[in-house]
Amino acid sequence: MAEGGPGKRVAEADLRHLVEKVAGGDHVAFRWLFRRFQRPVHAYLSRLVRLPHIADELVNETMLELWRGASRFGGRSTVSTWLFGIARHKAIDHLRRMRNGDLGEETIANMPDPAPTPEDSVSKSSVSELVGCLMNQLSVEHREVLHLAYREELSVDEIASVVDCPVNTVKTRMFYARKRLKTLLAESGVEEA
Amino acid sequence: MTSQVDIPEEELLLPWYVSGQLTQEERARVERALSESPALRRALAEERRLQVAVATAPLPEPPATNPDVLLGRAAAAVSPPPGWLKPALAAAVLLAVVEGAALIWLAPGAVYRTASAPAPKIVVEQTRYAVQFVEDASVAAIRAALAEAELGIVRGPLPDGAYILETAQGDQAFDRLRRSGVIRTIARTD
Repeated sequence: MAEGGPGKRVAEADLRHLVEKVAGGDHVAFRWLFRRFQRPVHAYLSRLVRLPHIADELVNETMLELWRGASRFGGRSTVSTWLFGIARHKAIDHLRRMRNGDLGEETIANMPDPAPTPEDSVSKSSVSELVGCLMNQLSVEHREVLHLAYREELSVDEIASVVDCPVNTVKTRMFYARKRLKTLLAESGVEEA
Repeated sequence: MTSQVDIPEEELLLPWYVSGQLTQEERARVERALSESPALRRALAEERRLQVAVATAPLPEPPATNPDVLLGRAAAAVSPPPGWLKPALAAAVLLAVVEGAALIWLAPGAVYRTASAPAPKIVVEQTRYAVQFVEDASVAAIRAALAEAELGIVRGPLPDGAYILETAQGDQAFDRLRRSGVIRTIARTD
Protein backbone atom coordinates (compact mmCIF):
# COMPACT_ATOMS: atom_id res chain seq x y z
CA MET A 1 0.00 0.00 0.00
CA ALA A 2 1.10 3.51 -0.65
CA GLU A 3 0.96 4.94 2.83
CA GLY A 4 0.98 3.70 6.32
CA GLY A 5 -2.40 3.95 7.96
CA PRO A 6 -6.13 3.84 7.39
CA GLY A 7 -6.37 7.60 7.85
CA LYS A 8 -4.07 8.29 4.92
CA ARG A 9 -5.06 8.52 1.28
CA VAL A 10 -4.41 5.21 -0.41
CA ALA A 11 -4.25 4.48 -4.12
CA GLU A 12 -7.17 2.56 -5.58
CA ALA A 13 -4.81 -0.12 -6.87
CA ASP A 14 -3.61 -0.73 -3.32
CA LEU A 15 -7.17 -1.00 -2.03
CA ARG A 16 -7.94 -3.54 -4.74
CA HIS A 17 -4.87 -5.49 -3.78
CA LEU A 18 -6.07 -5.55 -0.18
CA VAL A 19 -9.48 -6.85 -1.28
CA GLU A 20 -7.70 -9.62 -3.20
CA LYS A 21 -5.81 -10.50 -0.05
CA VAL A 22 -9.05 -10.58 1.93
CA ALA A 23 -10.42 -12.99 -0.68
CA GLY A 24 -7.50 -15.23 0.18
CA GLY A 25 -8.38 -15.14 3.87
CA ASP A 26 -5.88 -12.48 4.96
CA HIS A 27 -6.98 -11.16 8.38
CA VAL A 28 -4.49 -8.28 8.38
CA ALA A 29 -5.86 -6.91 5.10
CA PHE A 30 -9.41 -7.22 6.45
CA ARG A 31 -8.54 -5.31 9.62
CA TRP A 32 -6.95 -2.57 7.56
CA LEU A 33 -9.95 -2.20 5.23
CA PHE A 34 -12.30 -2.29 8.22
CA ARG A 35 -10.50 0.61 9.85
CA ARG A 36 -10.30 2.53 6.57
CA PHE A 37 -14.00 2.23 5.71
CA GLN A 38 -15.84 1.83 9.01
CA ARG A 39 -16.36 5.57 9.52
CA PRO A 40 -17.57 6.56 6.01
CA VAL A 41 -19.81 3.50 5.74
CA HIS A 42 -21.24 4.19 9.19
CA ALA A 43 -21.90 7.84 8.27
CA TYR A 44 -23.68 6.78 5.08
CA LEU A 45 -25.77 4.18 6.88
CA SER A 46 -26.62 6.62 9.67
CA ARG A 47 -27.88 9.02 7.03
CA LEU A 48 -29.99 6.31 5.41
CA VAL A 49 -31.53 4.53 8.40
CA ARG A 50 -31.36 7.49 10.84
CA LEU A 51 -30.84 5.20 13.86
CA PRO A 52 -27.26 4.94 15.15
CA HIS A 53 -27.67 1.52 16.75
CA ILE A 54 -29.11 0.12 13.51
CA ALA A 55 -26.27 1.75 11.56
CA ASP A 56 -23.79 0.09 13.96
CA GLU A 57 -25.15 -3.35 13.14
CA LEU A 58 -25.46 -2.69 9.41
CA VAL A 59 -21.81 -1.61 9.29
CA ASN A 60 -20.87 -4.94 10.81
CA GLU A 61 -23.01 -6.76 8.26
CA THR A 62 -21.40 -4.76 5.45
CA MET A 63 -17.92 -5.62 6.69
CA LEU A 64 -18.86 -9.29 7.05
CA GLU A 65 -19.99 -9.16 3.43
CA LEU A 66 -16.58 -7.72 2.53
CA TRP A 67 -14.96 -10.70 4.25
CA ARG A 68 -17.23 -13.30 2.70
CA GLY A 69 -17.66 -11.77 -0.73
CA ALA A 70 -14.24 -10.27 -1.47
CA SER A 71 -13.68 -12.86 -4.19
CA ARG A 72 -16.76 -11.51 -5.98
CA PHE A 73 -15.32 -8.00 -6.22
CA GLY A 74 -14.88 -7.75 -9.96
CA GLY A 75 -13.08 -4.41 -10.05
CA ARG A 76 -15.79 -2.82 -12.19
CA SER A 77 -16.21 -0.15 -9.53
CA THR A 78 -13.89 1.34 -6.95
CA VAL A 79 -13.56 -0.42 -3.62
CA SER A 80 -15.38 2.41 -1.84
CA THR A 81 -18.36 2.46 -4.22
CA TRP A 82 -18.54 -1.34 -3.98
CA LEU A 83 -18.72 -1.11 -0.19
CA PHE A 84 -21.23 1.75 -0.26
CA GLY A 85 -23.31 -0.39 -2.62
CA ILE A 86 -23.25 -3.31 -0.18
CA ALA A 87 -24.12 -0.98 2.70
CA ARG A 88 -27.00 0.45 0.68
CA HIS A 89 -28.48 -3.00 0.09
CA LYS A 90 -28.30 -3.68 3.83
CA ALA A 91 -30.02 -0.37 4.58
CA ILE A 92 -32.73 -0.86 1.95
CA ASP A 93 -33.46 -4.34 3.34
CA HIS A 94 -33.76 -2.84 6.79
CA LEU A 95 -36.05 -0.03 5.62
CA ARG A 96 -38.20 -2.54 3.76
CA ARG A 97 -38.58 -4.62 6.92
CA MET A 98 -39.47 -1.44 8.75
CA ARG A 99 -42.21 -0.67 6.23
CA ASN A 100 -43.53 -4.19 6.60
CA GLY A 101 -43.77 -3.76 10.36
CA ASP A 102 -41.08 -6.34 10.97
CA LEU A 103 -39.27 -4.32 13.63
CA GLY A 104 -38.97 -4.56 17.37
CA GLU A 105 -40.62 -2.11 19.76
CA GLU A 106 -37.23 -0.77 20.80
CA THR A 107 -36.41 0.29 17.26
CA ILE A 108 -39.74 2.03 16.82
CA ALA A 109 -39.38 3.76 20.19
CA ASN A 110 -35.98 5.10 19.14
CA MET A 111 -37.11 6.45 15.79
CA PRO A 112 -36.23 10.11 15.47
CA ASP A 113 -39.03 12.55 14.85
CA PRO A 114 -38.35 13.59 11.27
CA ALA A 115 -39.88 17.05 11.66
CA PRO A 116 -37.96 19.51 13.84
CA THR A 117 -40.01 21.72 16.08
CA PRO A 118 -39.69 25.52 15.87
CA GLU A 119 -37.63 25.26 19.06
CA ASP A 120 -35.27 22.87 17.30
CA SER A 121 -34.70 25.43 14.58
CA VAL A 122 -33.92 28.14 17.08
CA SER A 123 -31.74 25.94 19.27
CA LYS A 124 -29.53 24.63 16.46
CA SER A 125 -26.32 26.50 16.99
CA SER A 126 -25.25 26.25 13.38
CA VAL A 127 -26.75 25.83 9.96
CA SER A 128 -24.92 22.49 9.74
CA GLU A 129 -26.77 21.15 12.76
CA LEU A 130 -30.08 22.32 11.37
CA VAL A 131 -29.27 20.84 7.97
CA GLY A 132 -28.42 17.54 9.66
CA CYS A 133 -31.83 17.61 11.29
CA LEU A 134 -33.69 18.68 8.16
CA MET A 135 -32.03 15.93 6.12
CA ASN A 136 -34.15 13.47 8.11
CA GLN A 137 -37.23 14.93 6.47
CA LEU A 138 -36.02 14.13 2.98
CA SER A 139 -36.76 10.89 1.17
CA VAL A 140 -34.10 8.20 1.46
CA GLU A 141 -33.20 8.74 -2.22
CA HIS A 142 -32.60 12.45 -1.62
CA ARG A 143 -30.70 11.88 1.63
CA GLU A 144 -28.31 9.44 0.08
CA VAL A 145 -27.53 11.41 -3.06
CA LEU A 146 -26.83 14.55 -1.02
CA HIS A 147 -24.62 12.60 1.35
CA LEU A 148 -22.65 10.82 -1.36
CA ALA A 149 -22.12 13.97 -3.43
CA TYR A 150 -21.44 16.48 -0.65
CA ARG A 151 -19.90 14.47 2.15
CA GLU A 152 -18.14 11.66 0.27
CA GLU A 153 -17.53 13.80 -2.82
CA LEU A 154 -18.30 10.94 -5.18
CA SER A 155 -18.61 11.67 -8.90
CA VAL A 156 -21.90 11.32 -10.78
CA ASP A 157 -20.74 7.99 -12.20
CA GLU A 158 -19.72 6.68 -8.79
CA ILE A 159 -23.06 7.64 -7.24
CA ALA A 160 -24.87 6.00 -10.17
CA SER A 161 -22.88 2.85 -9.43
CA VAL A 162 -23.74 2.90 -5.72
CA VAL A 163 -27.45 3.60 -6.13
CA ASP A 164 -27.71 1.50 -9.27
CA CYS A 165 -29.45 4.00 -11.55
CA PRO A 166 -28.57 6.03 -14.69
CA VAL A 167 -26.32 9.07 -14.36
CA ASN A 168 -29.07 11.42 -15.59
CA THR A 169 -31.29 10.16 -12.79
CA VAL A 170 -28.54 10.95 -10.30
CA LYS A 171 -28.25 14.50 -11.65
CA THR A 172 -31.98 15.24 -11.54
CA ARG A 173 -32.40 13.51 -8.19
CA MET A 174 -29.62 15.68 -6.80
CA PHE A 175 -31.24 18.79 -8.25
CA TYR A 176 -34.57 18.07 -6.54
CA ALA A 177 -32.87 17.03 -3.30
CA ARG A 178 -31.05 20.39 -3.18
CA LYS A 179 -34.26 22.22 -3.99
CA ARG A 180 -36.20 20.42 -1.27
CA LEU A 181 -33.49 21.03 1.31
CA LYS A 182 -33.38 24.73 0.44
CA THR A 183 -37.16 24.90 0.85
CA LEU A 184 -36.94 23.27 4.27
CA LEU A 185 -34.19 25.69 5.28
CA ALA A 186 -36.32 28.62 4.17
CA GLU A 187 -39.26 27.26 6.17
CA SER A 188 -36.97 27.06 9.19
CA GLY A 189 -36.11 30.71 8.83
CA VAL A 190 -32.79 30.25 7.05
CA GLU A 191 -32.95 31.96 3.69
CA GLU A 192 -29.66 30.56 2.43
CA ALA A 193 -27.50 27.78 3.72
CA MET B 1 -28.39 20.75 -23.76
CA THR B 2 -30.98 20.34 -21.03
CA SER B 3 -32.17 17.27 -19.17
CA GLN B 4 -35.51 15.53 -19.70
CA VAL B 5 -37.01 17.97 -17.19
CA ASP B 6 -35.61 21.10 -18.89
CA ILE B 7 -33.07 21.93 -16.23
CA PRO B 8 -29.89 23.35 -17.75
CA GLU B 9 -27.16 20.72 -17.67
CA GLU B 10 -24.73 23.26 -16.17
CA GLU B 11 -27.01 23.72 -13.18
CA LEU B 12 -27.33 19.96 -12.74
CA LEU B 13 -23.54 19.69 -12.69
CA LEU B 14 -22.94 22.42 -10.10
CA PRO B 15 -22.56 20.08 -7.07
CA TRP B 16 -19.80 18.17 -8.82
CA TYR B 17 -18.21 21.35 -10.11
CA VAL B 18 -17.89 22.45 -6.48
CA SER B 19 -16.43 19.11 -5.38
CA GLY B 20 -14.04 18.97 -8.33
CA GLN B 21 -15.53 15.75 -9.70
CA LEU B 22 -16.21 16.81 -13.28
CA THR B 23 -14.32 15.85 -16.40
CA GLN B 24 -12.24 18.57 -18.02
CA GLU B 25 -14.87 18.99 -20.71
CA GLU B 26 -17.75 19.27 -18.23
CA ARG B 27 -15.79 21.69 -16.11
CA ALA B 28 -15.08 23.95 -19.11
CA ARG B 29 -18.74 23.86 -20.00
CA VAL B 30 -19.82 24.95 -16.51
CA GLU B 31 -17.20 27.70 -16.44
CA ARG B 32 -18.38 29.04 -19.79
CA ALA B 33 -21.95 29.16 -18.51
CA LEU B 34 -20.83 30.81 -15.27
CA SER B 35 -19.05 33.56 -17.17
CA GLU B 36 -22.27 34.32 -19.04
CA SER B 37 -24.92 33.91 -16.35
CA PRO B 38 -25.15 35.99 -13.14
CA ALA B 39 -28.00 33.70 -12.01
CA LEU B 40 -25.77 30.66 -12.29
CA ARG B 41 -23.02 32.45 -10.34
CA ARG B 42 -25.51 33.13 -7.54
CA ALA B 43 -26.57 29.48 -7.68
CA LEU B 44 -22.91 28.48 -7.39
CA ALA B 45 -22.40 30.60 -4.27
CA GLU B 46 -25.50 29.04 -2.72
CA GLU B 47 -24.28 25.63 -3.78
CA ARG B 48 -20.96 26.08 -1.98
CA ARG B 49 -22.70 27.04 1.27
CA LEU B 50 -25.12 24.14 1.05
CA GLN B 51 -22.31 21.69 0.39
CA VAL B 52 -20.36 22.83 3.44
CA ALA B 53 -23.48 22.63 5.62
CA VAL B 54 -24.31 19.07 4.53
CA ALA B 55 -20.70 17.88 4.62
CA THR B 56 -20.22 19.16 8.16
CA ALA B 57 -23.65 18.19 9.53
CA PRO B 58 -23.06 16.14 12.66
CA LEU B 59 -23.43 12.39 12.37
CA PRO B 60 -23.01 9.73 15.06
CA GLU B 61 -19.58 8.22 15.51
CA PRO B 62 -19.17 4.51 14.84
CA PRO B 63 -18.62 2.25 17.84
CA ALA B 64 -15.14 0.97 18.70
CA THR B 65 -15.69 -2.40 17.06
CA ASN B 66 -12.82 -4.86 17.04
CA PRO B 67 -12.63 -6.35 13.53
CA ASP B 68 -11.45 -9.62 15.05
CA VAL B 69 -14.87 -9.99 16.67
CA LEU B 70 -16.40 -9.87 13.20
CA LEU B 71 -13.91 -12.44 11.94
CA GLY B 72 -15.01 -14.66 14.82
CA ARG B 73 -18.62 -14.18 13.83
CA ALA B 74 -17.77 -15.02 10.23
CA ALA B 75 -16.04 -18.23 11.27
CA ALA B 76 -18.97 -19.24 13.47
CA ALA B 77 -21.50 -18.59 10.73
CA VAL B 78 -19.82 -20.49 7.90
CA SER B 79 -22.34 -22.53 5.95
CA PRO B 80 -21.89 -26.02 7.50
CA PRO B 81 -24.47 -26.82 10.20
CA PRO B 82 -23.68 -25.98 13.82
CA GLY B 83 -21.28 -28.42 15.34
CA TRP B 84 -19.86 -29.42 11.97
CA LEU B 85 -16.40 -28.05 12.50
CA LYS B 86 -15.59 -29.79 15.77
CA PRO B 87 -16.39 -33.31 14.59
CA ALA B 88 -14.51 -32.66 11.36
CA LEU B 89 -11.45 -31.50 13.22
CA ALA B 90 -11.87 -34.42 15.59
CA ALA B 91 -11.92 -36.69 12.58
CA ALA B 92 -8.74 -35.09 11.31
CA VAL B 93 -7.07 -35.48 14.68
CA LEU B 94 -8.27 -39.07 14.87
CA LEU B 95 -6.82 -39.73 11.45
CA ALA B 96 -3.51 -38.20 12.44
CA VAL B 97 -3.39 -40.42 15.51
CA VAL B 98 -4.29 -43.52 13.51
CA GLU B 99 -1.70 -42.68 10.86
CA GLY B 100 0.93 -42.07 13.50
CA ALA B 101 0.13 -45.37 15.20
CA ALA B 102 0.23 -47.17 11.87
CA LEU B 103 3.64 -45.73 11.11
CA ILE B 104 4.98 -46.95 14.44
CA TRP B 105 3.45 -50.41 14.24
CA LEU B 106 3.88 -51.12 10.57
CA ALA B 107 7.18 -49.48 9.73
CA PRO B 108 9.88 -52.15 9.53
CA GLY B 109 12.55 -51.59 12.10
CA ALA B 110 10.63 -48.90 13.91
CA VAL B 111 12.31 -48.06 17.19
CA TYR B 112 11.41 -46.01 20.23
CA ARG B 113 13.49 -42.83 20.46
CA THR B 114 13.81 -40.23 23.15
CA ALA B 115 13.15 -36.61 22.33
CA SER B 116 16.85 -35.83 22.59
CA ALA B 117 17.88 -38.44 20.08
CA PRO B 118 18.45 -37.21 16.54
CA ALA B 119 15.25 -37.73 14.59
CA PRO B 120 15.41 -39.65 11.35
CA LYS B 121 14.62 -37.55 8.32
CA ILE B 122 11.43 -38.77 6.74
CA VAL B 123 10.45 -36.85 3.63
CA VAL B 124 6.85 -37.41 2.72
CA GLU B 125 5.41 -35.44 -0.15
CA GLN B 126 2.13 -33.89 0.89
CA THR B 127 -0.57 -32.76 -1.48
CA ARG B 128 -3.05 -30.08 -0.51
CA TYR B 129 -6.57 -29.52 -1.75
CA ALA B 130 -9.09 -26.72 -1.18
CA VAL B 131 -12.42 -28.38 -0.59
CA GLN B 132 -15.99 -27.24 -0.04
CA PHE B 133 -18.27 -29.87 1.43
CA VAL B 134 -21.89 -30.18 0.38
CA GLU B 135 -24.06 -28.41 2.90
CA ASP B 136 -26.23 -31.33 3.92
CA ALA B 137 -23.43 -33.88 4.25
CA SER B 138 -23.55 -35.59 7.63
CA VAL B 139 -20.62 -35.54 9.99
CA ALA B 140 -20.42 -39.31 9.77
CA ALA B 141 -20.26 -39.22 5.97
CA ILE B 142 -17.52 -36.58 6.00
CA ARG B 143 -15.56 -38.46 8.63
CA ALA B 144 -15.81 -41.66 6.62
CA ALA B 145 -14.78 -39.90 3.41
CA LEU B 146 -11.75 -38.32 5.05
CA ALA B 147 -10.73 -41.66 6.57
CA GLU B 148 -11.19 -43.48 3.28
CA ALA B 149 -9.13 -40.93 1.36
CA GLU B 150 -6.56 -40.55 4.15
CA LEU B 151 -6.92 -36.79 4.30
CA GLY B 152 -6.54 -34.37 7.18
CA ILE B 153 -7.80 -30.83 7.62
CA VAL B 154 -4.91 -28.37 7.99
CA ARG B 155 -6.68 -25.00 7.63
CA GLY B 156 -10.12 -23.45 7.46
CA PRO B 157 -12.79 -22.47 7.23
CA LEU B 158 -11.75 -19.84 4.68
CA PRO B 159 -14.08 -16.94 3.88
CA ASP B 160 -15.79 -18.96 1.17
CA GLY B 161 -16.33 -21.91 3.52
CA ALA B 162 -13.53 -24.00 2.01
CA TYR B 163 -11.08 -26.14 3.99
CA ILE B 164 -7.52 -27.00 3.11
CA LEU B 165 -6.95 -30.76 3.28
CA GLU B 166 -3.61 -32.51 3.13
CA THR B 167 -2.64 -36.03 2.20
CA ALA B 168 0.41 -38.10 1.48
CA GLN B 169 -1.61 -40.25 -0.90
CA GLY B 170 -1.58 -37.81 -3.82
CA ASP B 171 -4.18 -38.11 -6.51
CA GLN B 172 -5.50 -41.40 -5.18
CA ALA B 173 -6.92 -39.44 -2.26
CA PHE B 174 -8.30 -36.88 -4.67
CA ASP B 175 -10.19 -39.55 -6.62
CA ARG B 176 -11.50 -41.25 -3.50
CA LEU B 177 -12.73 -38.02 -2.00
CA ARG B 178 -14.35 -36.91 -5.23
CA ARG B 179 -16.30 -40.17 -5.42
CA SER B 180 -17.43 -39.91 -1.82
CA GLY B 181 -20.44 -37.67 -2.52
CA VAL B 182 -19.62 -35.18 0.26
CA ILE B 183 -17.63 -32.78 -1.92
CA ARG B 184 -19.08 -29.71 -3.58
CA THR B 185 -15.82 -28.36 -5.02
CA ILE B 186 -12.24 -29.58 -4.88
CA ALA B 187 -9.03 -28.19 -6.34
CA ARG B 188 -5.32 -28.73 -5.79
CA THR B 189 -3.73 -25.75 -4.12
CA ASP B 190 -0.19 -26.18 -5.45
